[in-house]
Amino acid sequence: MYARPVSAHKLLIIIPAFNEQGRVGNVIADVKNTLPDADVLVIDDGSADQTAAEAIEAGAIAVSLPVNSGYGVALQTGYKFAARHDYEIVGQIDADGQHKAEYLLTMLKALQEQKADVIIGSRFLERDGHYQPSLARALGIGLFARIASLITHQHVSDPTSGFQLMRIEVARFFCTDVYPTDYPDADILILLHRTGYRVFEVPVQMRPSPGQSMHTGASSPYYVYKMMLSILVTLLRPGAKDTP
Amino acid sequence: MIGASLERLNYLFATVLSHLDLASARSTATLKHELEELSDLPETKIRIIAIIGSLALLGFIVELVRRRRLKEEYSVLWVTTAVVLLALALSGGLLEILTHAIGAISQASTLFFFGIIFVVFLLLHFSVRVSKLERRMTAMIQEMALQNERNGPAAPESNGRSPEAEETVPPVDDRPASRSGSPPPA
Repeated sequence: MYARPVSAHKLLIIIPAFNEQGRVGNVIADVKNTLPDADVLVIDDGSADQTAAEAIEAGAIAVSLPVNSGYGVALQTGYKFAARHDYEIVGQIDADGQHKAEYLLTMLKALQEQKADVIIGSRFLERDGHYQPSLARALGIGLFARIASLITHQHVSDPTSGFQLMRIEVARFFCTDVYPTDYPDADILILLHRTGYRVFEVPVQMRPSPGQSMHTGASSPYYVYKMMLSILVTLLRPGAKDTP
Repeated sequence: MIGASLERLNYLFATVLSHLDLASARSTATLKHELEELSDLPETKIRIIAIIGSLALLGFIVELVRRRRLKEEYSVLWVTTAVVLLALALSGGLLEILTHAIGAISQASTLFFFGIIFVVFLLLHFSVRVSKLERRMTAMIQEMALQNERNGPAAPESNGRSPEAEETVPPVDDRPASRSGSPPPA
């Protein structure tokens, strides 16, 4: 399950995008420069602008959700695509250009060398302070990082990161109803841990946010409530440690 | 000096309290009596109303099912609600026992109490149904999108989807934008 070498053609990078016209093209170019053999899939989450057209122009595959359905649904669509087209490794990167595609190489290396199932690009692993969230968000992220760390018995620094790389087994696992499509976040880390997948973090640098923050939710009361409940029920559900 | 005034204060309090006690005891007694006197008429009234109401509800549910406007599956809770209300209204004894059991004074409150309990269950039932619907709709949206996958410039319309088709069906933007494609559910 872990040691299989990966042919570059079996790598899919998912970019969920909602009204990212003018940015998504650069992200695709960035990914294609870094990983020329990877396929890039843009999930256009019911954008009102030309996100999908721009993605196709930049050489990506575009899949358009007919109605705006949210980040989690978009991501899961990508996982389903990956599972159907027999990719072996699935990556995901935000469409607004905050993530630097060059780190995908580090993450790919880590996935293979660390015998991991999921690699998460963490903004906080190296406390160099290059990423400064607002106080409320820092508190929210910190709280769930602490909870996730406690439950998974390993250091989790950035549970809200949308910069990830995973093996297809995990993507297939995410195609089922277990995946929380409304707020995939810290609860996923706990779910993965409970299921027996190995998750590791790799430090990444971020570009300053060009516009709206990617994780606006991290400080909203509903987010905190949902994450608490989600973590609780994930823990209450029978563990599926033997399945993978 | 201080001790004496404290004592006086204590006495004052005790007098006031005993007066209050008497007053409240007297008023509850009269209230109860008045209620008992009045109870006969309104109780009968509310029971008749409840009987007619639950019978009408029952008839309406059956009619909806007959016309296939309501699936049998969804009628279960409604029928249960109507039948229980009808049973309570019909058997005065049962209603009386329940009224005492829940500590209500009026039998009408008992009917309302059980009515509300059922309504709460119905609402919960609908929330469950809506959750299920939403999950299925999500799966359908994803399926539609995956069927219409489009490739890069090399083969722009290889999947039989014309750009016009996209323009005629503008995406419904029913949620505020926050995260890239991840509006927090309200």
